[in-house]
Amino acid sequence: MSVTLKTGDCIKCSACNMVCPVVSIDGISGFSGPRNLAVDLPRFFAGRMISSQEIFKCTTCWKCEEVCPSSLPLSDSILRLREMMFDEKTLVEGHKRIVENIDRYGRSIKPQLRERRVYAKREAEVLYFPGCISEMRVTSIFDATVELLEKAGVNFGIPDNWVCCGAPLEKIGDSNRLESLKETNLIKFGSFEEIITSCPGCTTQFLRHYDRDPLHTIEVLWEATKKNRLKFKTPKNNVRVALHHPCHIKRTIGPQIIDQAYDLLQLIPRVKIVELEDPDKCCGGGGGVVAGFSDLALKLAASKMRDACRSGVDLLLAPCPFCVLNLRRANIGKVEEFITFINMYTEREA
Amino acid sequence: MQRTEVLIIGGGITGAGIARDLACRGAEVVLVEGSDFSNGATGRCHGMLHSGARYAVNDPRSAAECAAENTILKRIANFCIEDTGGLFVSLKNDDLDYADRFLSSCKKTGVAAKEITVQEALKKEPMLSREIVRAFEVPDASVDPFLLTLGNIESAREANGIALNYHSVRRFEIDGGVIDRVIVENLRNGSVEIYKPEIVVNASGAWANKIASLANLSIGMTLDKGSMVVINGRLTNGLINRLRKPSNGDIIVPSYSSSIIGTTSIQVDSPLENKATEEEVDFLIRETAMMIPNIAISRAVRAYAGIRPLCGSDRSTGREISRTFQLIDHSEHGIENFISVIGGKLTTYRLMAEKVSDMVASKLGLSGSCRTAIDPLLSVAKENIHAKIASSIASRIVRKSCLFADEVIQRCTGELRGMEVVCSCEEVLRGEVIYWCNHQDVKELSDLMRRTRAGMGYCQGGLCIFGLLSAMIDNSDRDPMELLVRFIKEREKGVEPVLFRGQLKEEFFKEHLINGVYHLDAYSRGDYEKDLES
Repeated sequence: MSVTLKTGDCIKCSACNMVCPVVSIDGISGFSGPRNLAVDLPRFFAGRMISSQEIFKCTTCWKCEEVCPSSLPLSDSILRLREMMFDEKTLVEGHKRIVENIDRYGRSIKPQLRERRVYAKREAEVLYFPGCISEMRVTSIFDATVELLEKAGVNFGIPDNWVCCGAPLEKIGDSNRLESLKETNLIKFGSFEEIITSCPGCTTQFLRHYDRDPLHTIEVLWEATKKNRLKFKTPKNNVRVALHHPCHIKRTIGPQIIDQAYDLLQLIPRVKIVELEDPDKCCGGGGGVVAGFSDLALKLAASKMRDACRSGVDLLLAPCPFCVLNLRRANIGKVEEFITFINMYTEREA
Repeated sequence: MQRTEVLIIGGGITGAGIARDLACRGAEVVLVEGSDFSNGATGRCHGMLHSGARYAVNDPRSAAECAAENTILKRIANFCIEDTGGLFVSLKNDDLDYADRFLSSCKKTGVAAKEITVQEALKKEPMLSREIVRAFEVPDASVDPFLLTLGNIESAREANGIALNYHSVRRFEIDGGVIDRVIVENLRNGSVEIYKPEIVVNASGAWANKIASLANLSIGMTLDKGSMVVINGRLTNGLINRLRKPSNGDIIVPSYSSSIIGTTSIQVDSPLENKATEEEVDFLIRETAMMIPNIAISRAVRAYAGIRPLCGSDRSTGREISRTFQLIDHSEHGIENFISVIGGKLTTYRLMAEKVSDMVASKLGLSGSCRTAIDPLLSVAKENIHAKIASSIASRIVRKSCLFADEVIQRCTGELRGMEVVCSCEEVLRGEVIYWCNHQDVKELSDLMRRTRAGMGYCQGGLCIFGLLSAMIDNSDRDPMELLVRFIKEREKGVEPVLFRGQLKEEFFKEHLINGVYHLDAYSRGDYEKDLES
């Protein structure tokens, strides 16, 4: 009922459907689009789509909200509907896996064996929250961030036994588990005022649901450069890079972080920045779509990577572990995580 | 010329009820309606099936009538009734003694009212204001007046009655104190039809005086305008009434995908003064928001007004006139075979019809007794259709088109693109629209709307009109532009008083579509061709 209220000001212009990345891949017959799902569906909720998995195809890229002339909370409504529909028994395979992993390991993905460096410093001032993907999948992000933070002279610690931030659970509508993860993490966070995150998913989650004001690593590094704490190296060759604007940075945490990322890139000599035609086009990595509808996520990633190749860049930089993970699946062109790239060309201030 | 035993004038719920009752008693019945069935006060009512509680204190007779009819209608016409139940709530500053009088009056008049705690009330209706102090449960329900009327019409037709919409009565030929012939214009083709009835029943509601004047008679009655506002979304589970002396802005009725708030009471001079004003909208939103605060921030989609034909011509205020009905045998006034029925309510239509039919039957010497309180409106139980179509869509279709559910579902599943959603506000399928386009009763787009609900949603026909129109002209030789312009005008009338916030944006967008893209304003001006060329 509350959903109907908040999306009740729809004027049926379909601007949201026009910009929806999933509609552009799957067509309106494969995915009814934000208007039909967030506005019309709740009006006739009873029974209609409960069995359908269609609503789980939304990547929660927030593009629809950006263009909506009535400023309707379309993505939020879709998340709320997923919550209302949540039923452990009818989850798609990939989402079931997320839930199982959370129950077993406290992480959204199955941990891989690797040597874990312990950073639980007692006297740490700020807390670094690596997130599941950086710690276990695209581990270079974790390593690079730790190095960079040390270079920048940030006195940080990583709590023991932290658990998944809950963003994947929010995306599949599992609010009960989400709540218990949040409780666990809040205890770990203890007295830390400042939290640094690698993943925009975690950042968004802390911001929207933990009532904290976390910083994405880009923000921390940007501050450090302002204080001249980082020195940049010159690459051997010219590098042409483009920056992918992750949805959860650009439209949920704040577009200023994208500007800061450009500022950082400009500090590295011989790096040539190429602007993509559609830099904030969704890569398909969000919303639980990679786990739930991996073909769809792959198509979106391929489309993004083709854009990058066509613009003639050597490297597409993505400041989000999820984006990196998904974009690499496309096997087209080269993708590097933003922080990892920055780390390659910085050294400690002497 | 056609002979008939009874000619009923007026295709609102009263006329339809009388037609059904008499046809089922075996009388030859012809019903004529000047526009579409339920186009007058019937279709412009609150859609409330009264429990009688509202009238318990001040109008016990109406209360008792409503209480009895409420039970009967829930039994015979459950297809068009959502038995949501209702609450009467008093707010902090309301007269609390009134609540006690209310309870004892309900008991006396046979209205099943029961006090519940404020906590229970808030649990039943989470959006209820925290300011309520007392709450009473009553068996109010939400009823679809269009469907109820159509149900009676179809039931009359099943019993060999004839019911004709777009047939306007022009003249009576009176011979020796008897209406000998009734001259009727068929508005579909402009032809004139002559009926030779034994008895004429005037059930034309707000137009009763106009029809009576054809026999040089006049009826003492008052026309009372009541306005309502359609609020997007169902804000309550059941009906909410303000517990106080019946006043304006007391009632919230959940209806399909919306909530209807009302009403006002203003005396008017003509049945055509049925436009809700901005002041009324403001007032209704303010008053009802005291009970459901969310109304103040919700989107008002449309405002409409119905004209209540009330008995009596004394100039006391409309709220004080009894809601009961009056039967007038005009033999006292020199016309032997003419009966008028005025007043009453949607909830008591069946009782009115029974009384009228009793009088007609005794005049005709018919011996059959009334069966309308016993026989369900639909003779055939429609079941097992659900399997063919996703169940919740099916149940909505069955609810809306229960009389023809089989045929409608056949159109949906059988036709090319039959399952396509034509109106997404109300989730109307193309198959439904196609079925009704082929129906003899449907002439205008608004007739289609009354039967399918397409165009009643919050975009007010913004996106569905072209879908409706294409289905309509596929199935007839009507001029599409004329149909379109008339429908848009009709919709605009109800949107005008709610042009703020959401609906204002919507209308700007539609304005851009309809006039900016499709140049319909140029068509109305008569220079459409020229505009297209430029």
